[in-house]
Amino acid sequence: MKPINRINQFLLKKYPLIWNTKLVWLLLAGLFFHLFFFGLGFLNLSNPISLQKYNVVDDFFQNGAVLLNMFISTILIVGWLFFMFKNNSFKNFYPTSSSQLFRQFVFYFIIIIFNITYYYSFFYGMKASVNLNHPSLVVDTDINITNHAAPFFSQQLSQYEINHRGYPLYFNDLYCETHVELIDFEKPHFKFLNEYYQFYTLKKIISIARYNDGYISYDQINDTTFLYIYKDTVIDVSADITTAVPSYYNFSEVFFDNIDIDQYAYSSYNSYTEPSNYRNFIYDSLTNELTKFNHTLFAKKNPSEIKKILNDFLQMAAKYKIATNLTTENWFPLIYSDSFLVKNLIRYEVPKTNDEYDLSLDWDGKSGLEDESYDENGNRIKTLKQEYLGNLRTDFYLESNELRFAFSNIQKVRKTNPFVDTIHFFMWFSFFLAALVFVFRISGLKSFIFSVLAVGILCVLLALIALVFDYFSQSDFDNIKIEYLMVLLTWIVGTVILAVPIFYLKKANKIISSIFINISLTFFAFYIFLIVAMISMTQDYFCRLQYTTAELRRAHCNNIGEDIGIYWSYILFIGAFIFLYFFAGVIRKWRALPEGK
Amino acid sequence: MIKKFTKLFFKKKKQENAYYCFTKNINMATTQLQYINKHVQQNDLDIAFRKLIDFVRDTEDMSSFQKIIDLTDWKESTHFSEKIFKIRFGQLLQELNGFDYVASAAKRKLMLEVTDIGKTYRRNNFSLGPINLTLKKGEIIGLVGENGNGKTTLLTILAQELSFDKGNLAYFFDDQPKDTFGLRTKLAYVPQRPNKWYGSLQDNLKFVLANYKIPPEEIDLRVLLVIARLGLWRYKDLNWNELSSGYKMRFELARTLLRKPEILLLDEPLANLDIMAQQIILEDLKLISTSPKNPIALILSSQQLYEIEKISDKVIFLQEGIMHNTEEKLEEEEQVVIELDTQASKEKLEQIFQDLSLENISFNGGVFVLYFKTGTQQADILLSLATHKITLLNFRDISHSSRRYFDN
Repeated sequence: MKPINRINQFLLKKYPLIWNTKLVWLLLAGLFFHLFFFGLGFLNLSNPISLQKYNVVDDFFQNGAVLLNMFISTILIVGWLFFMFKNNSFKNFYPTSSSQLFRQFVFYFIIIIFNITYYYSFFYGMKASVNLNHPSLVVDTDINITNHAAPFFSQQLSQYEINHRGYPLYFNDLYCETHVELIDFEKPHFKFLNEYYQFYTLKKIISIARYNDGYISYDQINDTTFLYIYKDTVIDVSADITTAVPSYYNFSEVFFDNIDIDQYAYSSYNSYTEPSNYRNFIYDSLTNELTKFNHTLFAKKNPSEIKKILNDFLQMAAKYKIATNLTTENWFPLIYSDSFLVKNLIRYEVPKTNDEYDLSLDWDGKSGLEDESYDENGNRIKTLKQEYLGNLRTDFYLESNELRFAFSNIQKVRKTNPFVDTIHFFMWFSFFLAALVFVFRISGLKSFIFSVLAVGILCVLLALIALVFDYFSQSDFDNIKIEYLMVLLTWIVGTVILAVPIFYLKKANKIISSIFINISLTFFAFYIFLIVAMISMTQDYFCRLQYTTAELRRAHCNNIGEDIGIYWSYILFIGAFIFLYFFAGVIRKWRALPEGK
Repeated sequence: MIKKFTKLFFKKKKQENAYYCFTKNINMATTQLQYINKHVQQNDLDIAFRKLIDFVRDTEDMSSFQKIIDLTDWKESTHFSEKIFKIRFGQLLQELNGFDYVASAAKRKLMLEVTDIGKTYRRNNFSLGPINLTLKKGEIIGLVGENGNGKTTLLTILAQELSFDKGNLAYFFDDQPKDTFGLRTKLAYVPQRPNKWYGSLQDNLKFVLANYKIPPEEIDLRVLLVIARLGLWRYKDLNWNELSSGYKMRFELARTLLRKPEILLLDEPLANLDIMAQQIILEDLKLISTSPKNPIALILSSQQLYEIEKISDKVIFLQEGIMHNTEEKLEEEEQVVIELDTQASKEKLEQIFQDLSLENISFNGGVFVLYFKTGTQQADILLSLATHKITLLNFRDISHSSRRYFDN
């Protein structure tokens, strides 16, 4: 205890404000817990298995760390307030300058924000763990190994159907029709079990209209122009496709694309396109390179080369603790044949004893002829596809999705900036909490309670006025006017609240003026926000008059609210601090007022 | 030649002035020390010690602070013996003999001028004022009056805690404050019931000095000195809740004195104190406020009339918000007023004072107040009482005391 006492005495005598606000101790405690959470974050990902789940970047919120953070922050802040409230130089009229008052607020803010943001340390702990255990270059190599071994995973039969063909490269510019009612049976087509496949060339049309019928895909080129893609004519691809039976030649997936960190396990779903039938938008040079590599590999028919790929993959997967019962020796015979047709299927997970759902049984019927049907006794009748799948399935398994999760998580943790989405919350939460503590310190409990009550009553009154207006509104346009009116009304109330302490401080009763002071210093940023909102609404209003259609408005209408966007948060935040710096003088004047007016 | 002469003349004049100042200061310090020495010789060690601390405080010399603190520490320890204390005390006096300090030129300087101040509470229909008074450095004004007559109201108005409706208040500090908050930092007001202190008592005191930008190395010494001065040495490591209300008031006074107030406003500092404690604290207040180096303008309110009158330069009596300056009024009064505590009956007293022109006699259930014509001799009154063998518990001439205003 002696060193603590010595430091305390030093601070008390030399830096009374720092001593009183307990800044040093709270920062030290905060530092300790930041290190603690850094360690937690680090340990959280130290075991590769921990990477094998969806979105570990959210782990902090899912594994209880957030509760621990809240618990520690609450204890620290309550304890801090308990000790800080023991002394109050401002209340006792010890010499306190405006800048000291401002510094006092800044210290409160620093203490609070430092002690509630353990999330960042947790996240940087995870980043450190990933960077240490999974260096970027090694992971890139691992992804490359996986992408080359992916064709042999043999897990999703649909990936090996001919509508997935990506090589020769002209297949990327074809559309494969699979709806049986749209198949032109007079022209070249393929049939496998109950599935039909017919390849079409494409026609591209650039249009300014937003809605068109019959396209198979579209892309927005700029604000008003769209590219629509339509089927054109049937093409005979029998020179390159000799059989409709699923084969390794048709595999044209990228197991994990390093660039796109948002991809997740089951599919790279694109709402605009049907990826299985048309690939131009989502298949890139990496896909082309991989499909080309596969075709070259199959053409060589070199067992040792394929075995090396399998072996490299298994060694790599073991590093990530991916569960599998595959070995090079038992895997190779499953996939290798002269025709490279898919003859065995590998499961996604350990075979289950009961009839639980297994992803590897997924095989969407595209023709509409493979719908589920039942016999008279209510038992499911196996479709031809299910029969076929059943015959191909083995008891070998490879948890490839978990590997994809691992890659995805590593990249996400590495690339995500934890501050981007959360800093505003922490910033403003700390600001308001610091403002509440500050209000309590400068004006006392009575004023604090009255101020809270006053804010509550004002909110209720404004809400009631809004309700009354809303009741009489007739149209959407009325609603816009009401919105504007309410913002204006709130701003006027704010102006009055702000004007009292600045211009009429000496005329008002001390307790009443303290309420105005407290609301002003806490909500000044909101007051500026109202001004921004009013300007934006005015800009929108006049733009709406000038441009009649929604599309024109989208192209031409700007307002300062949206132009500066989230950066307003920073501007208002800095503005609130600058205001407080100058407002501290008013607070001093208020404190010196005698009571009893 | 003339220029040279003028230069020489002024140089000599300057030296003379410097010499004059020096001798004057030495004289001032020496006189103080002689007083202290006299107390020691008369074996009044306690008052001598308190005066010595005041002397040391005025020197502003930190090594002397340390010495007196060491002596206090030893004095309060179990090793204390009066004989050794006297020796050590004498040694310290010797060491301090060479010291001088500049006495405040501002003693008796006007600090506060109150002109026609008035305040009305509409709710209970109470009005204070108009109040007129002036307060100088080193001057003590006693504020007396029954409960609910406006003493606290007046003090809080003077302390700027409470607004007033009319009149004017003017403060004349050595460094005039720049704004109202600055003024509040200079007005030291101690309410009757001080707020609770939280945390260590010493830390609270150190916090005051740190806020007043006292060099860190001096803070401990100054705090311990004021603790020693106010007889709080044994209590310095306790908590607020462990202190009696008398000591709470003393700690509050210590906190206030550390602020080096030029105006000190005390509301009922004697309340809750036993009679001995009252006498000591009044004596302390007198000594501190009349310090040659840092005199303080002091206003204190109290119900303890006699004690207040003993130390005050002026006594203000407040009756239903109206101020009676006793000095002025008493000059007009001619009666001889005696307060008498006895078992004798009213009739008996009327009978024995028949010949002494007794004008009035009142009895409040505890004591009699007897009003005699001007010129009545105190000795004659005592003689009458003695002749009739009246047993006296208390006899007090209150002709010149505000006590008489309390008698209806």
